[in-house]
Amino acid sequence: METVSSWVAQVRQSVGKAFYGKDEAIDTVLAALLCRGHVLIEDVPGVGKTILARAIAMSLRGEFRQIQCTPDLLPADVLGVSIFNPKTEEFDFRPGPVITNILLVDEINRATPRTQSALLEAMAEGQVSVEGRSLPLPDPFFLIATESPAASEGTFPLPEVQKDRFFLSLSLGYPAGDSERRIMTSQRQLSHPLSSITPVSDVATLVEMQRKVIEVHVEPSLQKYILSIVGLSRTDTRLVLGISPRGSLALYRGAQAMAAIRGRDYAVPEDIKDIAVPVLRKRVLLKSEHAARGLTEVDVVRQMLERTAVPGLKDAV
Amino acid sequence: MDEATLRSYRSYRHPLFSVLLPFLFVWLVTACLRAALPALGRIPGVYPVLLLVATLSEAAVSGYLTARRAQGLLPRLRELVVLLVFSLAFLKLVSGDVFRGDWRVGRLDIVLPMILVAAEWLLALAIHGSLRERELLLSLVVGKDGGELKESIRAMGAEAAASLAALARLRRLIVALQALAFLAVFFVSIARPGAITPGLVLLAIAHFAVGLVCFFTVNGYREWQAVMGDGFTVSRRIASRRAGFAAALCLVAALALIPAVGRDAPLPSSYLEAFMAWLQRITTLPEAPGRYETDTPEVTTPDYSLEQQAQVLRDMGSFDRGNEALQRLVRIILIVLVAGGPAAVIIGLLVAPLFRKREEKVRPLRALRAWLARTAQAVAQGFRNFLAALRYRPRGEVRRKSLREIIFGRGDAGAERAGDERAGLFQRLGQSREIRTFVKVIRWGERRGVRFHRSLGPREYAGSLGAAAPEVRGDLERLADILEELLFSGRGLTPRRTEEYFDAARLVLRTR
Repeated sequence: METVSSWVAQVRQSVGKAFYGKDEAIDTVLAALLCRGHVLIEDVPGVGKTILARAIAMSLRGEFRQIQCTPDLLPADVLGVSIFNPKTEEFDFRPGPVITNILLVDEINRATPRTQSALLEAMAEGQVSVEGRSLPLPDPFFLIATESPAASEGTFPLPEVQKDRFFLSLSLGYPAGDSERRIMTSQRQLSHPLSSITPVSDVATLVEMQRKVIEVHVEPSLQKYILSIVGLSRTDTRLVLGISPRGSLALYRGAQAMAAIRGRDYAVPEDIKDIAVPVLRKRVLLKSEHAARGLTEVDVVRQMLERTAVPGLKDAV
Repeated sequence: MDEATLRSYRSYRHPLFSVLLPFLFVWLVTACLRAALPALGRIPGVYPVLLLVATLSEAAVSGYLTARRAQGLLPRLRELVVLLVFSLAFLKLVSGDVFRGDWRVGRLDIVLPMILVAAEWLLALAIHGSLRERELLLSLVVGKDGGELKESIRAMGAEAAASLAALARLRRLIVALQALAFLAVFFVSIARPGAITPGLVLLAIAHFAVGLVCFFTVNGYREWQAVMGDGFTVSRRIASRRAGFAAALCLVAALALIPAVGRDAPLPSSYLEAFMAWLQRITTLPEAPGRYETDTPEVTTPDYSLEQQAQVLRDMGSFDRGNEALQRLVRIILIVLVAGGPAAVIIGLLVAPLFRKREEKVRPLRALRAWLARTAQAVAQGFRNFLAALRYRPRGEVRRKSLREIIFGRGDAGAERAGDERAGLFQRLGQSREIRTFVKVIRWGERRGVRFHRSLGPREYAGSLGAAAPEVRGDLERLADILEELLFSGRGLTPRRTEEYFDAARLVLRTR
């Protein structure tokens, strides 16, 4: 799997020209990309969500579009609309920004539920339905959505069914001291660091990498390990909602991707544990009484990992 | 949640808690101590008025400052100083010192009431402060109802958490006050049972009843907030069963206490009175003649001079083995701790089921049995963990476990680490040589203080071990790498990789 590993290293290096100090976040997003999944980034404004998405798009020579969500955004603004052409006297379909390889949906929780639902089909089926006909989306189609913190006013929280469709969710956090200093000093020129990014790969190579990730071996004992983790969530009395089979599949694929990124053709428990929090944190729903006591979804996922025995040595020691 | 309800909480419901609870507690405990130890001094009989003024002033000033949005410690400190000055003036007035021109402040009958006033004011401040957190949460959701109210409370996660924490603190405080009051009554019933008047009994019952009501109310607040957070409601059946249980408990307490009081008890002497008298007999040493009055003094009018009281205090301060007063005090303390502690625990166990949410748990005997079983398991587990902890001496960068973790063996959030029971002999024999070798490395690591848990993979454990033994970090990483290839790659190891594995293991195990 050196090819996937070296490909990821190239993309990481390219993205790192504009997005500093968060190699783990870059790897996580690339893992989702390799698994043909979509990413939800939840964080405060100004930490680099848009830059990350743009940098990845520019590194891959794919088509990139951005949607800035507002409460008055209509589904037609996302999917496309037919406009009457007086010359041909026919309706010409003008595709919306969703018809692209990499789509950045900024502040998705500011869009109305109706507009959010328009993206559901795109994320799940790889196609969109407009005026009664289905339009396939380009392959690959990768959606990165950003979300403002839930306490902001004028937002429409994503329903659980839509959160579940995202492959993983992460929070970037503030940059470390040295990275923030570099951010300040790197923009002394008039041009943005994004303009220094040149494509290091293309869409065809990405598809090839995705195919290789699927071939990563996951031992049956590790498959049982994944099911044990997921099974714990379904019996945890602190949760209203446990992890769905989509979640266990995402964890499985995520482990394959992490193994491939690390240069192996087989997954190990560490791959599962490293990807578990981003994959599972938005797939569990805490009861409010526990949320009010300060318990978070990340805590619950970490506790599930601590409570599950890793295969291989558990019966030996 | 409407404005009128919020105003009622702010105006009288919460202030009532912060006034009644500390007032009854301090009054009861002081009365018990005055009954048991007349040598404490002659506190003016009007001291309950001062106590009431202290709590009322706290409630009033707190409301005033909140209305003016004035925060901070300084206004409250000023209030306390004013209160103490007022108390001093009041005490001087009622004792007649003002008219005699006696301006001494350093007297026990002046200082002690002022200490009581300050203590009660602080208690009232603590209770009211806890209830203010709830008022803050309610003020943020005022005007909302039904689903909208639920959503608002969920959105106010930080305030809701602070409110719950404050209510938990308040609940613990109420229980602590009840326990202390119980111990005070128990103490005086042993020291001077004849000094327990019906008035003292009624005060004790009133304190207990108010404490119970406050406890129920705070519990109701917590449950209301849990309902808002998708918790569940307490059924009417449980609520009425709780009320009946509480009423029955008060009745039993009254019936038990009343026969044990005074010489002119309204009911015939009971076994409890005889038992108390017997306890008193076996724990009382003969008093030195001529120093104290032999008759049991009344609570309100002890007839000692200050000189005699000072002499008694000096005697008690002398740690002479022949000091009879000190011996007596030590015996009383021992009896209170030995008998009073378990008694308080048993009462707590009987009361605890009142606060269970599930119907099947509202049964005292079953709850007691379950508690005893859990306690026995915890003690056994603690002993096992203690023995395990003795085997491992953490050093270097390894974090020392707290006593709680050693005894109870799990972290704060209740997460249970995957257990670390040892594999049996037949299990060990069935393992491959590579795994047996890694197990040896694990044992080697445990001797260095790095414990293995089943939730750790080989790579993770090797990383922890490498931090504790940096000289073999590279070998450990290689070892874990090859072992994971063996366990998870779906193919075996090549001879070269196997040799590399055992070489790395040898290098690690050879290191001391």
